[in-house]
Amino acid sequence: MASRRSAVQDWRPVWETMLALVISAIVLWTGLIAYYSLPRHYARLANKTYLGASLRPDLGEMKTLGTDLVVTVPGGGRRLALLLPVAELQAAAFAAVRIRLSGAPTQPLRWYFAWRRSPEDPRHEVPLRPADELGWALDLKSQPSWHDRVGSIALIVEGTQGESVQLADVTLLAKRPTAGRIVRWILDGWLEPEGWSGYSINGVVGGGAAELPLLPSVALWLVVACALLLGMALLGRHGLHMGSVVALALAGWLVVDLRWQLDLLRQLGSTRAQFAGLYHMDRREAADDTEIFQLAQLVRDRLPSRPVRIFLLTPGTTGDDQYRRLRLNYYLLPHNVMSDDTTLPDSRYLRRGDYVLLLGAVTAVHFDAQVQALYWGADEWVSAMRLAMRVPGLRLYRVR
Amino acid sequence: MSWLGLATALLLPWAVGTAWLRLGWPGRPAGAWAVRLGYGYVLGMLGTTLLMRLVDAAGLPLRFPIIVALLLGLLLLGLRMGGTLPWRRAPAAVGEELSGWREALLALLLALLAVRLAGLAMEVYWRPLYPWDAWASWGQRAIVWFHAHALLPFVSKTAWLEAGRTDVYTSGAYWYPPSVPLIQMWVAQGLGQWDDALVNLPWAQCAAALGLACYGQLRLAGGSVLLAVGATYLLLSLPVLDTHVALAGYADLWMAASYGLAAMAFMQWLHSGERRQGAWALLFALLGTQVKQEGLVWMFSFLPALGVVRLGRRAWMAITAVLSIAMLLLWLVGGLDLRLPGGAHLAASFGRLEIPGLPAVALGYHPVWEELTRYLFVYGSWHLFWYLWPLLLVIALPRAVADKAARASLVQVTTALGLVLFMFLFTDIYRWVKEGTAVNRILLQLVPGLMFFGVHAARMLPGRFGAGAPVSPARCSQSAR
Repeated sequence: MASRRSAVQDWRPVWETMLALVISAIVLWTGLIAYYSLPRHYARLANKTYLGASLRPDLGEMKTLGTDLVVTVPGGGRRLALLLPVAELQAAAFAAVRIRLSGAPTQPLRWYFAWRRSPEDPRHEVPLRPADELGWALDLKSQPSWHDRVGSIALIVEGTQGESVQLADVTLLAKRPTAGRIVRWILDGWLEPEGWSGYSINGVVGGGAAELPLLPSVALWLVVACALLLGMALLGRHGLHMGSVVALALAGWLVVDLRWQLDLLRQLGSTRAQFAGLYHMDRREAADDTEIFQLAQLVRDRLPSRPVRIFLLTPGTTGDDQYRRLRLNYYLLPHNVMSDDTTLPDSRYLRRGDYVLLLGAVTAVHFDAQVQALYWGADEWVSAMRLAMRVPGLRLYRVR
Repeated sequence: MSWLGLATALLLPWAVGTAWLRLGWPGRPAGAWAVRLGYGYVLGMLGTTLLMRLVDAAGLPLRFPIIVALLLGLLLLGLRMGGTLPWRRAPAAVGEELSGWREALLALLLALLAVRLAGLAMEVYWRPLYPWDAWASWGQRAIVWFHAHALLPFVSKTAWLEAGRTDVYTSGAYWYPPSVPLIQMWVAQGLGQWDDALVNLPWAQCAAALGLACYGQLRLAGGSVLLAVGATYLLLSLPVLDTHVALAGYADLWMAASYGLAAMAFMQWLHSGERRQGAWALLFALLGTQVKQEGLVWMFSFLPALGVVRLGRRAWMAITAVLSIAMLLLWLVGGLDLRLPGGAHLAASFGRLEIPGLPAVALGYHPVWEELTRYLFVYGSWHLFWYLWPLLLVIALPRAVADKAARASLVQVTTALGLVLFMFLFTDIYRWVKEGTAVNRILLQLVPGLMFFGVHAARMLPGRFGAGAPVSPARCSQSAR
């Protein structure tokens, strides 16, 4: 009898905690569903907006202006397709599509909305109707072929040749959601893969950061559960068991950690696909910046095997220039590279046998082939020899 | 590529560190094995980098066989000295029995830890150096030194131009301490070639060592297996820590390990009075200064806590009075500016602070509370750590204040956090907080110590809140009558 009571006592913190967590979860999910059932809230959560600059034209490059895309109509009966960065979406979740321009076109334009469910599926195409001076829209609910999963979406524009407009964004407007769809949206946000990026070493953003972050949501869940536990303790007059509080905290921790573990496993899969089974140099070839590695290999072929001094210059020292010069510097090691300038230092610092490597459109230094010399600054020069490189945008010189 | 050399590079320093940590340790209390392995790894690997610096300073070439021979000598010496001690054959501690949900929870936590560490190790094994500073600052020196078999100097751009030599290099971070690149160089020497991914394997080992040390110290402190494993899981599941393992190549994990191990040993010393723990605290805090410049700042976090232990009330009042007067004088005269012997410079005013060995900093209040809130409480870098830790601190505060050792531990962690907050709110580091580049990385260095303190504090809490003392069934029946 005593041992049975002891067993019940032993398990009590566990079931009390479980009960508190379950009730708390029900309370919170009910609250979230009620909140996001209001149109102004669900629109923010469920509408999908694609900025103009994120669209990919099928006819070469197009200019962007801030987050807008500058669309130039090809004319001559040709049409321009702009692909939306859509991986896959549920057609049934969206009721309409709307596009917004930043300025009214001077000539009339015709916009079409096109989609495919799969690469094998024929393209479905419907004209958009003007909604106001700067917008076009289409009711998707009335489209018989707008169903199942949609794999790719494009906007198609036709009009007078050379007409240019700024496309601000394209928005897929969500249907008024059911409770199940709200739950799905929230979970999708929380479980969205983050993967590694340049920011990762500084921190993890975590799930649902844009609308409903997971971490504060879990914290709120625990606060409500803790209040329930406290209520049970007061009603049962047995005090708040420390073990229950610890179990509560651990449960919350496990939830956020399972999401993180899932993200790590997905990332591990990508890393494996990219690098597994490769040796050192092959991994460099397989890296995201393989073109810089290949440039480094071409430069290396022109250099002696012992380390030499290299002045590596780029047009700028920030942004993409900074990344490219530092990466090239790294791939050239153990050569002795100085790479934080856009021009050469005083000529007295250059020695015979040094190398000068110009990456990109460096204009501060120029080479006179007739006198075989590099010139820069007011009247700085050094005798040098150009080494043949088969790559445009890369010039290598040896100081003589 | 030599797999035997790689295994030697990864395991030999660990064995040496562990062997030396066995010295002078009577008995085999619960958790001692984990402490030896955890502390032994960090000591062994950072000790190896010091040995490499000594060899280079002696003018010898930095060749793998030379370092291996020296390490083998140290290993044999450590084993021999440990082997002659009579308490080696002392009985092992008896393991504790677990039953019911505790056993299930322990199994779950161990499984999660195993999956996490294995996954991270695989990521390190496959992924070449990825984050910016890993290749732009730290790894750069490792490659140069590996190829040169010598610690060639890295200097400022001006000095590089003046030198005009091929064996003098420059880098944007030429003043960084050499320990981290030396770890990568050591592994590359074992491999016999530079490999962007495999040179980072010690980062996975470092995480495992940190976990072992945390587990072992909690067991030594009398914590149950479940508590110690639970705390280890909490520590090793932190996304920031995991990221610094997976995207290896930064120094912050090593800084977190050395300072964390020092803080744990310091707290153990405060509670148990064991001199060994005090010595480890000093040793690992000193090792931290060789990993990153912050190591020097974290050394200061121990001083007030030492004062709590060693000084009486009168001494504290005197120190407070002297500091207050010094601050007042500083304010009245507008600052202090001293040229110290050896060319060092000490300057302090309400707008600027310059301490020898550290970069000069401009002082001023920068309210970055919104960013801090976002990084600690909204984004997913820390799981629930920053929700739970302050809460635990508040709950445990009355008991911690009543106990001298706990009070000193509390002073240590609050000093460390105070230093961080000072850096974030009053120095140029606020820019990194705004950009989100350093806030989590700096906090990572403190978190192992904070976690250990938090678990210690949790152990001081009563089993129940609000029910008073347990009442026996006999007394219940008496009052009913």
